[in-house]
Amino acid sequence: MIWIVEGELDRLVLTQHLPSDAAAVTSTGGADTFARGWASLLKAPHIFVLYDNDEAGERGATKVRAALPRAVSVPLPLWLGRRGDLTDYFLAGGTYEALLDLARHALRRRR
Amino acid sequence: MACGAKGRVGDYLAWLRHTQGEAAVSAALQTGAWVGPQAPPPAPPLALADAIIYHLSLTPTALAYYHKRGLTDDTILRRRLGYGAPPGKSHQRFVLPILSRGQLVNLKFRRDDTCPTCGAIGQSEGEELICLQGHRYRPADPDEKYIGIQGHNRPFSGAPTKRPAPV
Repeated sequence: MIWIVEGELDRLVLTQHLPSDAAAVTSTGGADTFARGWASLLKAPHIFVLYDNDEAGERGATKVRAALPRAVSVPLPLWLGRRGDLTDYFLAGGTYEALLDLARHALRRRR
Repeated sequence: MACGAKGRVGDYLAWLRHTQGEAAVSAALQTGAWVGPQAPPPAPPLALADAIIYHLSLTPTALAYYHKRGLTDDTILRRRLGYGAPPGKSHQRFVLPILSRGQLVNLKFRRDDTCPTCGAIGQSEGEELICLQGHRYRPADPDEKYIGIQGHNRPFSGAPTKRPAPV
């Protein structure tokens, strides 16, 4: 399982919570940066996009899905607010297990 | 070469190839001069040792910032997160080494957007920043949020140019 997140600091925070069979990656260039050529480098049964709850995050996630159609966007919980990000999620007590539930839900909704 | 930066010819050609294509590189090599649009020479690559120096320059305030971002001491230590000014710049930034298989690929310098009034983390709101306490301010550092400098695996390159004063 691969999680694509918006920035390096988010990636570091998520990595602290990941089991050994999952990885987190980021472009380090912000939400708007995702080159089509990177898609073929990401090989995993499940790829989730976990960007911020704001307009830039939504735009970035759309860009990732355009380059990588099998990637599934996972919206962060609404209680984080419009500007909430992955760091806020973990700082507010969010767990990796709950994140997985959100990912499963997003996967089911897509099917 | 017209850029005149001794030791940076490889970087210059890489930049030329990236922005103008292979033909421009061939033309520049044949004529020994570049007559196209001027571009600043890329910053010289930084070494893993530079990242370690930035890591050793961590101030208590910078450490507190990483903690506020939810990062543990173990992550800060293993990822060699640091603090300091990029070469040629005066404003201190958070330094994030991007490593691949133990090699430094890139050194990212993130602008220090902490609130000057209360020290809380600031978030961009247009051209201004707003902290968790609601203070609005402009970033003291005029450069963009992230500056990236390519890494290399040669020994120490001599950067950073400035280190924070001891606390």
